[in-house]
Amino acid sequence: MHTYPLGQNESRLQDPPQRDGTIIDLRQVVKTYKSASQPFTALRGIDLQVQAGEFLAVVGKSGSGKTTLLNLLAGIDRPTSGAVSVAGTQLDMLSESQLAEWRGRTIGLVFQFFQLLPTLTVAENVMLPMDFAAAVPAAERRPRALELLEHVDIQDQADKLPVTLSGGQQQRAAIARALANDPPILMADEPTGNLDEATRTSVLELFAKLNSDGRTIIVVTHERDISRYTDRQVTLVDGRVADDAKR
Amino acid sequence: MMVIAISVSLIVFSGIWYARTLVQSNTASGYLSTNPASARITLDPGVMPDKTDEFITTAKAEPGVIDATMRQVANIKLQKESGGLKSLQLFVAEAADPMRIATFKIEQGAGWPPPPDGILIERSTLESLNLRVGDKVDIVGFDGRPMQLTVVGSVHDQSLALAGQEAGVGYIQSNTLPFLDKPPALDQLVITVADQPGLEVPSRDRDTILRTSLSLVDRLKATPGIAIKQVAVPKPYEHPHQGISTTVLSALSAFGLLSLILSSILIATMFNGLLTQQIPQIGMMKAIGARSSRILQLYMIMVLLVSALATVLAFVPGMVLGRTLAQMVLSSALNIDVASLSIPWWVFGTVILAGVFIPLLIALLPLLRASRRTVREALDERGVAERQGRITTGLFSWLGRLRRVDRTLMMAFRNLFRRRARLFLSVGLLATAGAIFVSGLNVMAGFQAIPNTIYNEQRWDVEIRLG
Repeated sequence: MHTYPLGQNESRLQDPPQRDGTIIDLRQVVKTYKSASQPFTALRGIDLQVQAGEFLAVVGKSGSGKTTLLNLLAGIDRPTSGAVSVAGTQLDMLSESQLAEWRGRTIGLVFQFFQLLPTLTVAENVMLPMDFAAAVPAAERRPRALELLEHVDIQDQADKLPVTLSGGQQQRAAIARALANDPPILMADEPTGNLDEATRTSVLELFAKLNSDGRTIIVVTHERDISRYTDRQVTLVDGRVADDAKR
Repeated sequence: MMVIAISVSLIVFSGIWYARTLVQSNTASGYLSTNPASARITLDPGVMPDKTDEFITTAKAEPGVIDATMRQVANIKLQKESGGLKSLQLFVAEAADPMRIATFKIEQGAGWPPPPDGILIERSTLESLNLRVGDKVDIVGFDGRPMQLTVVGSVHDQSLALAGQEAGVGYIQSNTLPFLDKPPALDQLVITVADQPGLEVPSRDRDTILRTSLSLVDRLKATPGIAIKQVAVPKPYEHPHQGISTTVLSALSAFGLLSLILSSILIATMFNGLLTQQIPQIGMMKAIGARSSRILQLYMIMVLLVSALATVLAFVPGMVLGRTLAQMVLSSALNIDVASLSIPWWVFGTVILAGVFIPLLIALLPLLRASRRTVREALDERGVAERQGRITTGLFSWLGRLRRVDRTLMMAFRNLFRRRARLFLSVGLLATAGAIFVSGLNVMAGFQAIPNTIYNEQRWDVEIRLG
């Protein structure tokens, strides 16, 4: 797998992402949502540290705060209070645009419903993050996209539109897109929630394979047997860490 | 749909604006080709042929007067009504008149002067009377005797409107007047006036023309036996009937502008709907590294492509509409020949700017809002406003408590209020369209009512004009 240095016009927002040591550090993180009825606290003082190269599963019932936690780690949302540091960057110090740029280079995101852009082909979807980050030279983007699709075993679907692919194939395409800029951290929110049993297993095995390459992976999931693949499992109950078990 | 909406409104807007530009330019050039008089001084009594040169010389000697001639205007009845015409307005000049001021173009037959028993007829009058060159026109002389004049030619006078409802237009020389039992006297001193002595271009300043005319009048008053009846100074360089065409074209321009406003609201409505569907995709793009500015740029390019395509599609039809409308107004309302159908580049430029930039402007605010949404907000978009207003919430609660209200009907009603912006835009669009339609009906009814109103106000059977 290729890695790419920062492009000519890129500004250095933080130190290069770590491949060892603490890569994620949350301290007393609280997230409260204001709703029409009354405020709802999704996370209540979370303390969490993740080492580089870990495969972490965040589990819990619906409403326990799993997705909220992932959103804060990915910079998609901001905490009400507390500190979030990911890959050496204090996320609360960044503006929305800076967060988008940081996310493009540091985090690979995979969603339950794939979220592929329907008017782009599979290869174009994989190339899109490269276009935004501009870390990969333009001439090398398509070859890299095809390489990534081969890595996830769907290279022959490269020029098809996402709507023509099965759920499993779309999720693999989404994973390939998440890897486009070779991010050190991969985050997935219920990546197998919309897949059949066999496909779920193959996707989880793919994550395990990516983890074995040294990538930090955080998966939010309902899967009961996720512990077969992960190094560590954090259980959330009502916005608090109820259990933190290492394998 | 957006391309069609922009195209149609642009066709209407550009067509009307092209027509207005063409009508104004052709009217000006057509009218000016007749070298219209700056002023007409009516004398009492009229001046006999042996004295006219004296008055012309006096006028030309006035500082600022470029040229002068003597004319007369008389009305003569036709023996019987023909083509809706009951009389002829006769423009009289001396046979030796060089026809440099208030002139016309000979279209058929003999030029100026016609013989004493002959007449030149304006082409629209010839058509109304169903006559040809060489035919005789039956008139009633000033002494009441029936007589005939030979139509020796047809002319086109671009300073006059088409043959009116009752009176046509003809041109005779002053020696024809005795033939009609009227002295060959000419009572109008017709002059062209420059801004300053020595200049050859007629003045655009009415005050200057009036000043020069009144100064000439003071000099004419010294002539014994002559009184000044009237000094008429029309608005310089403006066709006498330009006000009517300007009014009609202004009304049409207002509708053209309204169509542009209507299409703007339609574009805003469609764009609002499109963006609402695209918000989760915008969130996704931001999640994988797109900055707000990049997303804004992406969608602005999309709008620009749509508006550019629409403008290109509207270009030719707009021009065809404009030229057709202009030709109709010029020939049917103003009696002006179309000299040129070329449209100034700046008019094209303004239409292109309107077609390209109005959609961009409309799209800018919703795009800025959409591109600045946080990733979480965008990904969580469900098509319902997060917070409903208190009134809306209260209304929904009250509806929910009503018994026997069909639930699907309630759902349809609540759906209206799901997104307030969409509701306001849709209602605004329908209201504006309705207002335009009703305005159009009112304008049409107003125009149609004018002749009836005039007719109803003329509550007399006989009209006697005293001399």
